[in-house]
Amino acid sequence: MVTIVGRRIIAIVPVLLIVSFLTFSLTYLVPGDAASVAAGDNASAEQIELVRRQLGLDRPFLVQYASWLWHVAQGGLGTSLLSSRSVLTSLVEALPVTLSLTLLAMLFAVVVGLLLGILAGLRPGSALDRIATTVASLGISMPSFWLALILVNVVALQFGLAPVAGYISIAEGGLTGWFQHLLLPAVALGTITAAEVTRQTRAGVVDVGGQDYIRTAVAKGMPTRVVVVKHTLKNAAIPVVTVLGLQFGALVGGAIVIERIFGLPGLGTLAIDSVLNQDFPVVQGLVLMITLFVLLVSFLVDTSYLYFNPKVRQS
Amino acid sequence: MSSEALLRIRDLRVEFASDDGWQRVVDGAHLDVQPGGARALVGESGSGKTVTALAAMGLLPRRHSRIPTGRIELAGQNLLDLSDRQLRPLRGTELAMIFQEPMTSLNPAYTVGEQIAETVRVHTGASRKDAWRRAVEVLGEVGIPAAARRALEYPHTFSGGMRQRVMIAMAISCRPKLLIADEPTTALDVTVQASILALLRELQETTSMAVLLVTHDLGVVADFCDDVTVMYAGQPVEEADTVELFGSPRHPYTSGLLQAMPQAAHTGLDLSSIPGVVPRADRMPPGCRFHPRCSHAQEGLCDIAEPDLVPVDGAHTSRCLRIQRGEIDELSRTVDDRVGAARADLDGRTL
Amino acid sequence: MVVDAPVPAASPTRSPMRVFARRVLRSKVNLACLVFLGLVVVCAVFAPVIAPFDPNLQHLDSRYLPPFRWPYVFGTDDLGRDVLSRALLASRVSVIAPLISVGVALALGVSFGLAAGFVGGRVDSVLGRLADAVNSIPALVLALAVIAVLGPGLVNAMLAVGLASAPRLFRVVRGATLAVREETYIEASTVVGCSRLRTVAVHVLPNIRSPLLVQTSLLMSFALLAEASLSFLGLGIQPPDPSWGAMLRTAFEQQFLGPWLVVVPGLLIMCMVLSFNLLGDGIRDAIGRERGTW
Repeated sequence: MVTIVGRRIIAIVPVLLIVSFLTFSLTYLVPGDAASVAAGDNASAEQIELVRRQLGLDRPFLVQYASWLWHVAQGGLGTSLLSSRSVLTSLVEALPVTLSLTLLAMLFAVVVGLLLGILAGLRPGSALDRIATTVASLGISMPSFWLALILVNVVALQFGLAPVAGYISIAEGGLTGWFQHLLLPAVALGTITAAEVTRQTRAGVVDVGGQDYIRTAVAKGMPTRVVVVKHTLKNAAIPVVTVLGLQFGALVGGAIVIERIFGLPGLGTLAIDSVLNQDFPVVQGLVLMITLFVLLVSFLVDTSYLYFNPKVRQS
Repeated sequence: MSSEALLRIRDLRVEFASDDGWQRVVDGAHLDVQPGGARALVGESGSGKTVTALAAMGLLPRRHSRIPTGRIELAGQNLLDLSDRQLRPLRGTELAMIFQEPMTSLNPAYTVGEQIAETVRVHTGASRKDAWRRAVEVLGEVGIPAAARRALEYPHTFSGGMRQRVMIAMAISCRPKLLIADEPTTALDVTVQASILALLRELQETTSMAVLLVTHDLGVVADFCDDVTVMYAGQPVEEADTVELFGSPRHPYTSGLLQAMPQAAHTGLDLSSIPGVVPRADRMPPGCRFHPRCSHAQEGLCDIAEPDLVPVDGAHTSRCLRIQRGEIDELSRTVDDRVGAARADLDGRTL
Repeated sequence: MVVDAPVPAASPTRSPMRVFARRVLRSKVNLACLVFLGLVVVCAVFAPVIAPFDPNLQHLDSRYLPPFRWPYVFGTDDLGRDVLSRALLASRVSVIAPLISVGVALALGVSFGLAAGFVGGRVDSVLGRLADAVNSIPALVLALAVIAVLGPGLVNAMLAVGLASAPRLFRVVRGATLAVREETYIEASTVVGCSRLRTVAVHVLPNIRSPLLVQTSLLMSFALLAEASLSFLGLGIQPPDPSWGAMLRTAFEQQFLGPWLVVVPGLLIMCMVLSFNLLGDGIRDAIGRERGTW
């Protein structure tokens, strides 16, 4: 079992290397010249040359990549061309916001999706099932930022039930303030995922519900709660967990837009600013960090199969 | 027969939902299982025997089935009057069930020990430790070697026969008074079949647990059961004790089943089978449901009048008009030989 | 492409396609989706003719009109532009943008998938890793990175989305190619002297038509959502050209003065995405039935 986990970790390395290479190559695709961008609009040719040498842009491509990678591996992501701040510092500042948002969205998706999916799957064909299935179809097709705009309009502006925008960390506003500011964004962001989880859970519960071992559990007198939660859900979980893993990347992407709407100072806001200003060190740092998290999540998902499916443990 | 039956099924009707409305798949099931006794419920597939067994456990699919009439009494209490909630504590403790498909009847996500132990915990409120100890104990009782270690393993590491043993262990873990075994050996290899049957017989004898054995294989019945109920097309057609039924079957269908037994071939008789198939619930023939396949059927009688199940010889009942009228005497000869052959054959396999 | 499934030319060689089309069309949901998508295409083509106003014409005396004030059926925005006319013109972007992305994804996914499955060995494993890597970068993040390099704009944005979507198609095509390569008739045609790659392509592509169609439909919906998101962020289509996502941006900026502006473009996006999603599911079901009857 340890070797399976180890092998999965090792498999991440080449993927990360390729991503880092792609990320580094980005700057070379820029139509303009990174050195002249960095040196500023009014720089003379000599100043540009000086910046070029300072940034090491005069060395061969692969040498630059290797040295860049060496720095990155030690956490040195360089400095922002725009603000001259350390990229890592900016990322670390913004990360908690995006992580809070994404994880809350995921929590919302899991709670709502499991609940709806189980209720629908236990009574396939019932009115409740049809409602849940329809809502899920709509939810999957709804742009999260549109839902966000509607929520802001109705919940925040019309009824004043939640703040319109802004972020307060737990340290500043306590758990309540933090939660209040993230509630609407998380609901808006998590709805698509909730819909996906609903569909997968429903399908899984319907499928597992027809299995012989569920009949066995009923036949030996297990209470309904045990039959559903223990015997059905663990077997129906794998596709649900898989979807959650796949959705993580989509959630991070969606968070970029949601952060913009709610004025949250997260990775998304940082990303848009740096993209519009061609602040490449920040863009590179963002891509690397986000990819690292995506790979981490998919590793966790893979590992969870060991728990849900005993057969995997042996192969 | 004797006074107080453990399980009494009377006039049970079961209907399944179909595109054309409700289809009656069991129409007047009737049987008794004595305390500590062994009753066989025999019939081809489609005869309604498994549905009857599932109805007794309350395991029929709730949305697609209904029971318009009938009683299923366990020690005098009508199970059909009980809610799911009231029925639950009886499952596993009073009556338990094992199924035809041992490969898929165990939950792949939990160890076999846990699946037995949870049954014990739920019904007896035993601690995790005690329940586990009991699980290992019953695994040993059903003949699983190295039970303590095997309890920690998952179902996919067990063979079909071993899984059926686990199912049996799970079923007897809370010492039920009645075990319903639905085709317990059909999905297994022939050699394994015999050992599972031997195990069931041993458990029935040593623990005085009653067994309702649902099967299509009369060879199994001869070896194991005290009494036999034969079902055809949703109705019981003959009921007698085993020796009586094998010795002088009083329904042409039973006779046909007996002659279709592979063991009959050993005695030099023809290995005959009954032509045709069990009619579908929505296409029941008029009159006697068996008459289109019956070599004794009489035009103008069997295709018009619906027979009832009535005693023809003491407690021996039959649903055949011509038998009831005494028009047929001998349905088959040398049946004692056949029982003997069946027993010898089974014992041979057991050894 | 989107709406051409019904009524292919009657010729004996295309009969499996017709059978398939009939299966897809048997479902009313599928039919409704195709009708809606067809309507969008019609609007896109004839937008200038149907639109009651010039979509960029500013009626500064009638700004922030709520819907149903004649002659502005869906109201006007912050500059007094007719929302209906802008929504109609924006349907062009909604048709073209996903086509660009899916085109890029198909070109990359199919060619690399064929190559990986056909050549195998090191090429396969390198391309596989590459697909894994691209796949592990969230599509919108990859799009942002590409836009950082190439600059904002609809085409750049959709190229990036197409690139991000390619790995999904790559996997479908690669798997099918591997399966077909094992078949003996490939070797037979190689002996005859056909170009091997051409042989595989000829045998593989008809086999994966259905899964490819499902993926294409789902990618269209994804690309449309991505376009809306990027245009909403100001990184896709540039003002004053309208897209539904860009109209939502206006709605966002004017949410205090014109809260209703959010309704029409959002509903249109949702209906179109829903149509592609349901159609994808519908085609998948139709394939299932196809398999079932065999």
